[in-house]
Amino acid sequence: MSWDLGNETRRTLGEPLGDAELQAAWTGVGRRRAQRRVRRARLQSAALALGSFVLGALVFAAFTPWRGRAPEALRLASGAPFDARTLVATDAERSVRLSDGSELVLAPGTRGEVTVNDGLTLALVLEEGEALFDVVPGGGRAWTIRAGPARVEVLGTRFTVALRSPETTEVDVERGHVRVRGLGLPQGQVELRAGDKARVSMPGTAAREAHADSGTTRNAPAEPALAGEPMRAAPAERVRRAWRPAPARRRALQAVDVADVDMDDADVDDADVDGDASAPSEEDAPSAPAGEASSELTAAANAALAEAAALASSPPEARVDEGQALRTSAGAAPAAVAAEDAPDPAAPEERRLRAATFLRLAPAGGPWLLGVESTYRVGPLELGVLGAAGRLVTGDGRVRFGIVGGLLRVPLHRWGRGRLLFSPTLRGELGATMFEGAPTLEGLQGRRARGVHAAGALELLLTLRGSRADAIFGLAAGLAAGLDAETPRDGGVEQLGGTSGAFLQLSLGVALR
Amino acid sequence: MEHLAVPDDAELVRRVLAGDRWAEEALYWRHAARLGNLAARLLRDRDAALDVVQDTFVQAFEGLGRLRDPERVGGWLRQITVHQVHRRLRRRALRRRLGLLPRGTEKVLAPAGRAAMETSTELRLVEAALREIGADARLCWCLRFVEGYRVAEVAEATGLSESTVKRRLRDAERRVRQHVTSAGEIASGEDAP
Repeated sequence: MSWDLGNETRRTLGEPLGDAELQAAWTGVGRRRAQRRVRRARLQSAALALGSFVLGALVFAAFTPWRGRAPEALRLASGAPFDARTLVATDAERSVRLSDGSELVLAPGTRGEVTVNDGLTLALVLEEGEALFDVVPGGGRAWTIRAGPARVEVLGTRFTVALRSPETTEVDVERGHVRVRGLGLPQGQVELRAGDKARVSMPGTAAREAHADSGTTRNAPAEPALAGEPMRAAPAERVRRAWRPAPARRRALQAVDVADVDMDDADVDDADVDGDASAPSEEDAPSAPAGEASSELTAAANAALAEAAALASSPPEARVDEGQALRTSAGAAPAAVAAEDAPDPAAPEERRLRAATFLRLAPAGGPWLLGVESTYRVGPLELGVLGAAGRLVTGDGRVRFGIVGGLLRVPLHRWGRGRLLFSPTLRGELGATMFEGAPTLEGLQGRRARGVHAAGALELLLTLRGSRADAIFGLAAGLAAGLDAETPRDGGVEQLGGTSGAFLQLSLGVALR
Repeated sequence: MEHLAVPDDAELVRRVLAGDRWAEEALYWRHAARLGNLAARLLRDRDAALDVVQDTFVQAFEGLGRLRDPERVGGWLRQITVHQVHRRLRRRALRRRLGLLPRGTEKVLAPAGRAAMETSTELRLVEAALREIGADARLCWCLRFVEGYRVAEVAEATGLSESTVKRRLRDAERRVRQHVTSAGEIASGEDAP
């Protein structure tokens, strides 16, 4: 039997994947190859490290006499066991010498107990009084001393632990380094070095005092603000700091936000969830005064645009592969593009999408193929378009483009792992007329969809300034994806005015560096 | 625009091996759509197909040096793609057996756009039948009857021998025919007494 499904089915099923999705997949190929390279390099260095370690261990084993026994419990220097009885001093100071050379000096009236004493740990509890510990480092044994509210971890040192009251313990380090733990400490612990002193109280605070040049010792302040480096922030504060975007990222997000304006829609506020990244209104946007620096930038931008317009009349050679349009590496993209947002009326939710688009133009054999990378906001979600394919039709100074499809991703920095989502509702024709004649920056700024215009100009700079292309590209990609981007030297966002100004200012800041 | 000489596959492979990034991209664009659409039709899943395309090219660029006959890079890429599809089908079948694939989440051979009612019904029936046969048989059947490959090409793409392919095709055909016939009888009220 034979099935007649072949051609019929193929025709019926159509060609599921579009250029945009394939473009996204290509981006993914590059990313995954880079990841694999990194992983491989890591594996190699790990293998190398492991190999050297094993080799080292073998050599060490070969040249080290095998002791054949586990490290023993500490004893007194006399050889007698080190136990609770030895940690009592009644009316006179008492010195206790241990088998590893360490020494404890107990003040009169001190009482303590040895709770653990084996090859790995020596744990003491100071129940009363004050003791000086002179610990010989390198014993391979962890010393801990509990005294009231504090626990002292010894890292090879000479120090005193004094139980002033059942609720208060003082630790005074003469040499070396100890870590004091206690609930009363700001972060539950503090590390003390030579000259430092800590007082740990049950509910209160601890302080560490560095003996200054004067040699005087200040009383423990109530605040854990200590001499020397500042105390580390409380955990909650640290977490908050870690989550606060870096300045560069803030700027990038802001720039995307301000470029993120659709003048047609009234519900801009819905999309603008961050209070500090509000979009400028239409009125103040284009008319902001240009400062001296910005007029320089304006001139540069106009020069670039003029250059681009000149290029437009003689398109560079394109690398074309069997009718498939490719992004060129060498070719310029001599056009700026304007687009009007024309959301799919069938998808009211999608109407909130705002394009802050930057365009990647590539000359192909005939019409232009266009890649777009954008950031959109849908309610609290920020989405980046990985690549949308469009077609540009050029002729007599006019350019039109229509978006054919799009792929969305949730930015990596927000969600850990980006997920590709195809949104068919993004499909739709966007039609717009481009500049007639040579484009200028003023022309760009005067347009409605300024984000797009500015991005077009940005792309021109990208292609015209070869060596800086990467920097701008990185910046633009960062802006578009909401990722960290390098902050330009002087990124006064408002200087050029408006959305395109912000975008251009940021990009030119890098371009003109 | 002036016409540029188009490098053939072997030339592209040579340039990729020499480190030409443009050639990599050209190779990708020359084959990605065909492979992606093949994977999409075989898997009935657009996202999975894109994954397959990615996996295929990541694997291909890494193993390109081992390709003996650069002229045949197209067939080689198709092999990798089919292998990737096969892996996913097997995984899917396993998940289905383990009950990890919720009902109704599986994609069916849904026709794109407007199709005759008859065609779309038939596609659904075929899909239901294919779901019950093994990954190998399903793959062979789709390559042969959906993609229209010859038996020898199916064998090459799947890495199976021609006789195995024929056996798989026979099995698959029997199941599909049974399924479509019985469903057709039910649909037209011709239940056996």
